[in-house]
Amino acid sequence: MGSDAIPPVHGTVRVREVVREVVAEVAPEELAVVAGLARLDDATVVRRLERGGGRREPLGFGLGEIATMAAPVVWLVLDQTARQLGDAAANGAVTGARSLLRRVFRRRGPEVTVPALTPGQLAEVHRRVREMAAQRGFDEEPAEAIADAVVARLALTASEEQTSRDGPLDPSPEGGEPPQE
Amino acid sequence: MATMATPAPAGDRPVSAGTTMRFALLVVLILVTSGLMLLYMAYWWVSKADAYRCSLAAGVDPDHATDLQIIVSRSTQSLAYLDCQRRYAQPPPWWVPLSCLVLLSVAAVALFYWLPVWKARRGRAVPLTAVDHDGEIRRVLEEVAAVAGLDRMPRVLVDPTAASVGALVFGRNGRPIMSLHGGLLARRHRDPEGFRAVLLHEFAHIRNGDVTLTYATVALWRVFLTLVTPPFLVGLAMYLVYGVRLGSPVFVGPSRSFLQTAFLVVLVYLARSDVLRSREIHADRTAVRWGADLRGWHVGVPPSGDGALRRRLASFVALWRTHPRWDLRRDALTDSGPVYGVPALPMFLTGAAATLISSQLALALTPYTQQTSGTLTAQTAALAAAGIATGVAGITLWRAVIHAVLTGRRPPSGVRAGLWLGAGMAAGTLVTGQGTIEQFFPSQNARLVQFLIGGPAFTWWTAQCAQLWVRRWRGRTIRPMLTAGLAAGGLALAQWLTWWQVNAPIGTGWWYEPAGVRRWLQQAYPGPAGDHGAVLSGISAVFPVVLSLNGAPLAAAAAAALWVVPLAAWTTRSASAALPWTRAAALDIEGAVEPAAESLPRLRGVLLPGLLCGAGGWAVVVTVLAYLHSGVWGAPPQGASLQGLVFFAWTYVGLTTTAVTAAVVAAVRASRYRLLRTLIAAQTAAVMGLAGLFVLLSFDGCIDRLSLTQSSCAWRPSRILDWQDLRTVLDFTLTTVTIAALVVAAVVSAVRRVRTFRQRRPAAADPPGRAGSAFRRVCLGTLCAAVLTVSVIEAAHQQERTLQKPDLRTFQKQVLQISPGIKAVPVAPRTKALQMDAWNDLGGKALLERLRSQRDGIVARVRAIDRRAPLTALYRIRPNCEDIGRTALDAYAYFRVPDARAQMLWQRFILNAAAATVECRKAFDHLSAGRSKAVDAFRTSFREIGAAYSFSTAIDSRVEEVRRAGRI
Repeated sequence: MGSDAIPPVHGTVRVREVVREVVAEVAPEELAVVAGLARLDDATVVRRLERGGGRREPLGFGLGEIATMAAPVVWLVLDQTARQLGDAAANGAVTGARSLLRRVFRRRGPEVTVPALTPGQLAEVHRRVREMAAQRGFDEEPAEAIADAVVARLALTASEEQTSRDGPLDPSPEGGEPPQE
Repeated sequence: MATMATPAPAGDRPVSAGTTMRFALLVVLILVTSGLMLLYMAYWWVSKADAYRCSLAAGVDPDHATDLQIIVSRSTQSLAYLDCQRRYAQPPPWWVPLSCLVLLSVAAVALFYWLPVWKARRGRAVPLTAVDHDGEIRRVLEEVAAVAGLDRMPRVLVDPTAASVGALVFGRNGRPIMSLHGGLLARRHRDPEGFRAVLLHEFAHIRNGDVTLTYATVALWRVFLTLVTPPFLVGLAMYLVYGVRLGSPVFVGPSRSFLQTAFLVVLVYLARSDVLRSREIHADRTAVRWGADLRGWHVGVPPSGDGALRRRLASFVALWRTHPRWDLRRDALTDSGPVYGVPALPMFLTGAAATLISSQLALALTPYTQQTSGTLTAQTAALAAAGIATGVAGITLWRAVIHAVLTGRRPPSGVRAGLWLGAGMAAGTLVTGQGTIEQFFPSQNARLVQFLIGGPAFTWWTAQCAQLWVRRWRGRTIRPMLTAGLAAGGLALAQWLTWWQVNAPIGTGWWYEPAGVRRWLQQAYPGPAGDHGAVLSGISAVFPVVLSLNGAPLAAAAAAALWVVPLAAWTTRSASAALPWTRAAALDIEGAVEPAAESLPRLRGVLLPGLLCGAGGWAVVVTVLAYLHSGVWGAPPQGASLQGLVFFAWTYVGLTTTAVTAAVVAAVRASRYRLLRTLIAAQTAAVMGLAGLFVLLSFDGCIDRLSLTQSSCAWRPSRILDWQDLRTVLDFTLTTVTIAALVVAAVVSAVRRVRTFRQRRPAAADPPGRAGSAFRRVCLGTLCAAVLTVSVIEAAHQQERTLQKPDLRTFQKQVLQISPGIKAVPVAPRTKALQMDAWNDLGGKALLERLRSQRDGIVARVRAIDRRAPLTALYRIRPNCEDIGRTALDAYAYFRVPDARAQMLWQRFILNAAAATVECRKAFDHLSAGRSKAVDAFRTSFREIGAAYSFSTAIDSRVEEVRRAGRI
């Protein structure tokens, strides 16, 4: 299978990367699930995560509950954010057709990335994560923890982006002009 | 590779769960329905058959005809109707529907193999190795698989997008695939016991062999819904539209087909859900036995509400789900009662499915077999349906009895289960329209009550037989006796279904006309009818029942099996406290204990009423013979005579009366196994009486005062064996005695129950029997074997008779004589025109033209003869004369004209044509003797031909007149 995955543009971060790092921090027991999700393309993951617990199959057995997991919360909120910020949402029909073709030909779709976010956008992400976590069964405290971890990871990207725009701080003589006092 | 750590789940059960048979029932039902639908489609699009016009030609009035009128019109003209069907409603070649069915099966198999590929596709699941980098999950899986005794680890996938804390298996038994949900993986550290419980449950499905059955049913069902049902419904709609265009008012058939399809969908869905729920419960119990944590089943269930209506609605919704409610699952883990219970729904569904299978299979086979043997077709269909229904209902009852005996509870009587089974059969009969032709409901709705009687009769017997053998059997496994019990019950059920299938016309209200039967009997059994008026009237009333029972050729074997299988229990040694087979069974039943040793009722008490009354039956036979020989009834009978018939009638009455007496005595004396003891007593008496009859008639002629047809003494068993009337009496006696014993046992039980309820004290127990001697057991075993052997031989003989091709001409003659009279009702001009048109097109016109052409041929040949030629030159027209005779015969075999005036002309036409041939033959006979006689005969013959010719043109004119009046 060919992969359309391309390295993220400087100042952006892949959704799956954020999910993995956040889950490693707040819910390490879900790392196996994240490893499984990593084998699927972003569109498939989002489509199937949105569907929720799945339908009842013959010969299926469960402990009668839907696990409260951080990974779906983080993934769905970030995907939503990325789509709102990017141009994907504007070309929904084209994307849908492409997605269908990809599914037919079993080609992997491009990985969704999140650009560096402004403080206002970060606050919005924080709110959405808390909301979705609450919808998916998390109590307030863990929901807050997940939201904090997500925002912290995205803020890191924003900070890297800022640093990149301002120029690297390199103390070495080759590193450029020292800042003017 | 894992090794088995605990006993195999299937081995833990005393008998199988019975769900395999329920899956088989679904598969057979879907295949049979598909076969019939494919046949109908082949009729519509391949053979383009038109049986409707054959009915019109037979004079059926589609606007007003009742089913009774239709059946009388068709059966009294069966020669013409069958010939019309053969020519204009030919079924498609047998290989067309069969090939379609094979293709359908291939599609189902392909889907079965493709389903796991689709479910395991990329984008839906990932291999376990992709998420289990350190092999930790794999190790747990292997450990649990070892506990479950799996020979090989299934292929394991992970569905990371599924948040439910669960798993599922799919694929097939030989190559199962397990998919772990993301939620389960996320929870495994926090709840390792829950994780194990889920794995054990899924491994239990694999060990119990659920995977192939489940997905085979899914594949077949989907193929049926997508490949068979849509074209069938389209064809049905086209058929309706075509009918409307033709002006046909016949909508009942297509409407019923729509209803039947909807009923089938509901039935299969409910039955599939029910059987899957059972499988879930079994897997739960197996998992818990392997050590699964019970907390895995402590799932919070949202309350269904306080109102009764809400609770009922919740129960109704639960019927459609493939998974049982959590509270039921939890209860089933600690109490095996519900697992071994006899729930109503499966019984109802089994009854309905059995009737659908039986009637649809018969419908699908009949077009190819009705010319040879309709009874054999009905019997094949009934055996298939009864076999599967017995497998489902019988195993359920045996399991319930085993559970009750091992837990010290009261075994089920089977009556309630039987009522549900019977209700299902009645519902299936209504939906399939058995006993109807063009009416939606049968004219004799009361006939459906027979299912409500027959269902409980079957289950009552099965439950008592199970109880007897469960308490008595000492083998390592109960399965041999289970098989024998089910075979006997199934054979009886099959005879009953066959009888109903063959006698379905009764549902239309058709029954033998007593006066016609009497006339027919007088012809078949000549003798001084005036001397036996009352007896003859009695025979005329009962004879139709005898004839209707001919539709169940294996009845003798079934009747014997019903009493010999339980009687064989007395051939075993007394049960000690330990019954070896129960040890394994106890592993699956909570609270099971070795049943207390129970002695059977005394053999003497069981057999004595039958033996005494049997001796009485013998005395009756001797008395009848002596009375016959006294000359009161006229000369001793030779061959088929009225005196012989009267002898058989009295013999039947005598034997049946003594057998019923034995039944009453046994039923009143019995407190346990009443039905079985009543059957044993009644049949012992009947068989003894019949054996006495056989001996007396074999030695006929040896005792002067008792000789029937012979004057010299000799041992003549072969003569008796070839005597068909005697065999008919034998079969009829055994069948009626069986039915009578059932009724007697039911009545006595009901009376006892009412009395016990009023007096509130239990009935007195039977005295326990002593251990029988080995000699007595051997004698009894020999008797059972002998009775079974003789009855099987008798059944084989009757079976052979059903294979003989029926003589349609004789059949039609008999039907004409015994059919009920039908009032003529006015027919609308257009309908009459359509009838005349069909009559004309499908053969009438051809016959008229044939005669005219034959007449022209004779005229041409006579004119070609030189006037001076000798009269013997007329020999040239002999073939033409014979051709006219054949035309007359064919016209006689053709439909009556559906118009009174034209029918009169038609009769004259036939008579004239026949007379022409007769006169022609006479003329040729006289040619050598005398010229004048020959000339006269030729003249008469030619006059008759001319008259037939005139009538043929008159019929043509009348046909045109009726057509014009109907504006077609």
